[in-house]
Amino acid sequence: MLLIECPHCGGRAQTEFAYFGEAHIVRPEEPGALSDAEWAEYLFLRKNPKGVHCERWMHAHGCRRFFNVMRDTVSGEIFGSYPIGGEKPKVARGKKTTAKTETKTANAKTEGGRE
Amino acid sequence: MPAAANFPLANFAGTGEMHSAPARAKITLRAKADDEVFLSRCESELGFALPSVVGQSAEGGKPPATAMRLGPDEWMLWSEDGAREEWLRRLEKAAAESEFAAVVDVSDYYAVICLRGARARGILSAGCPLDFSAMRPGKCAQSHYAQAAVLILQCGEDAFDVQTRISFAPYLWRYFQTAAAPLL
Repeated sequence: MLLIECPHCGGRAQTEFAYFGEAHIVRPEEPGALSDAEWAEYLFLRKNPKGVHCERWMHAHGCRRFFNVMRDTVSGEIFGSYPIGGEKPKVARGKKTTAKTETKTANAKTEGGRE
Repeated sequence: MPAAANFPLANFAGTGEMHSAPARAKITLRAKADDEVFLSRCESELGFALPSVVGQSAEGGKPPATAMRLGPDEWMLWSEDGAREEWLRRLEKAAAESEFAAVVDVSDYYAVICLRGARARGILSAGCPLDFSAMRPGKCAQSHYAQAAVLILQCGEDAFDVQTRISFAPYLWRYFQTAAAPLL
């Protein structure tokens, strides 16, 4: 069981989340201009690394928002959550990074500083 | 709109540590979190500000209402059953100026089961991964209880209201009973 930090709701159990695969995959701007191989690369091919992996999660049983998580696929250790389009946290093994506070600041911005 | 007698949990209704809540008005509010016009108009209609922190609730107003913040752009409002039309009318008015805002009556979509007493935390912990020892009155959270999606509001020191989709309510009720048995 992973404990995942939702940028909006805080730390929650993995069973509340849905996994959506590798993060940072950008849809090509002109799919028609791509070769079949390039399109297949975008559509099907994923890194599947043994080690640090950036992946998308969605808080399905909570706020239903997508966000990214940086995680070690071997140990399951999570280095931090960050908003889609946000900056990746630093890999610091054995302790949580400051990604959490960075995420909070980003939230405060989108919420018009009402917090 | 079903009358209270047609409420699927009416058979279970009783008093004590676990009971189905009388039918209540439930209204979903969706709006952009930086929509200041919507937020301030809601505040003047409600008589209190919508909670600004996810997982926090606020109450007040006339008729009395409770607003819970479920996500960055989503709130849930509970009030007495008879106040449904009035709140809908007033909140739709508040949302009228906003391009991306929605006010939806979901009263009959959800049921609420009330857990009261010292065993409430134990019953909830049996099927829900939230940390109830760290939860405080006025806090709310969406999660799942076994296979059912739930919204839990802590409304007192040992009091929790659990909202679930109405077809899941009998399942949840029986699961609560099973979870409560070893705690008797």
